[in-house]
Amino acid sequence: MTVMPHWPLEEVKRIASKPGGLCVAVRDTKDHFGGRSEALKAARRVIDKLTPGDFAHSRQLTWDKADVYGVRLRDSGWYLKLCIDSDDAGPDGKQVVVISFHPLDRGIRTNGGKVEP
Amino acid sequence: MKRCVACGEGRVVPVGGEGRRTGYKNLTDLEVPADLVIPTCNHCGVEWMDDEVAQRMDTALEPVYRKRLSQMAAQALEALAGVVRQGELERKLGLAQGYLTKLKRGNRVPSAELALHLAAIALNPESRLQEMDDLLEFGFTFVLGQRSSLQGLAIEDLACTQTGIGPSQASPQWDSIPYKERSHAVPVAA
Repeated sequence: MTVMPHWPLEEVKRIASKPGGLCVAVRDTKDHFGGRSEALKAARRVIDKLTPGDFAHSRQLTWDKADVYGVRLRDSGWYLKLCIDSDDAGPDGKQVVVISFHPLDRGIRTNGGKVEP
Repeated sequence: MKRCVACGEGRVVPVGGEGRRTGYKNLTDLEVPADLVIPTCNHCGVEWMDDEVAQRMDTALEPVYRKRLSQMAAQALEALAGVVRQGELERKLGLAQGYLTKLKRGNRVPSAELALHLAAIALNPESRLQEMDDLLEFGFTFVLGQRSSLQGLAIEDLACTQTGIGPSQASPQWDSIPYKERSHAVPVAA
């Protein structure tokens, strides 16, 4: 059964593609992309290519709801968790917030099938 | 102050100061310049990066990264000083004559590849320099063969099958001679 993301993909893509429309959380000290700007570019590229088949599930956070995707990037499976923040940031007062973006620790089930690390 | 979407508990505030570490490119533990202010959650510590912050971070971290590469190369060259002549090392690595001197003096910044290569050699100079000699003389297939299950074969057999070159220097006696005492390695003047 196909499950749909909480945040409409087309809106996510539209906001993230704009300058200032994307904000990414950095947790670990490992740089996977050769610089922060490259990391942001990579996140934008991945978001731009997201399809409903990449969607795994939605998760309720403390205040927000986030969508989780499993994608293939550079021969590995990656975990992507995002939401749209309307807290007066980015163009039009909205910003796509990437809460997690890292290589998968274990496989994740998506609409398109299981994505392995 | 924005609330932190990641934890839902804290607020995102501008944070600067000393003692922060981060990864940049292929190095994982660089000191973040104290004057670089990064929006950070005051509860979970997550740093938040948009286009403007990412650009500022890259601009601030690039000189720190280059300095670390220079230090790594300089330390490696210092460790190798009594083991192999600089000119010999430049020849083996395919570098222009005098390039390593420029690195030592800080007139050039090494690539990450070169800095790591020099550091790897300096950590185990005898083995690494011997491997480089073997690679340059006999090629990758032969050296790989030496380390594989083909080790059961005589070295002469391997040389004939892989390259047709007799590995006169790759004998057990040659291996037992310290690198700097071999005929091609000229001792460095004190």
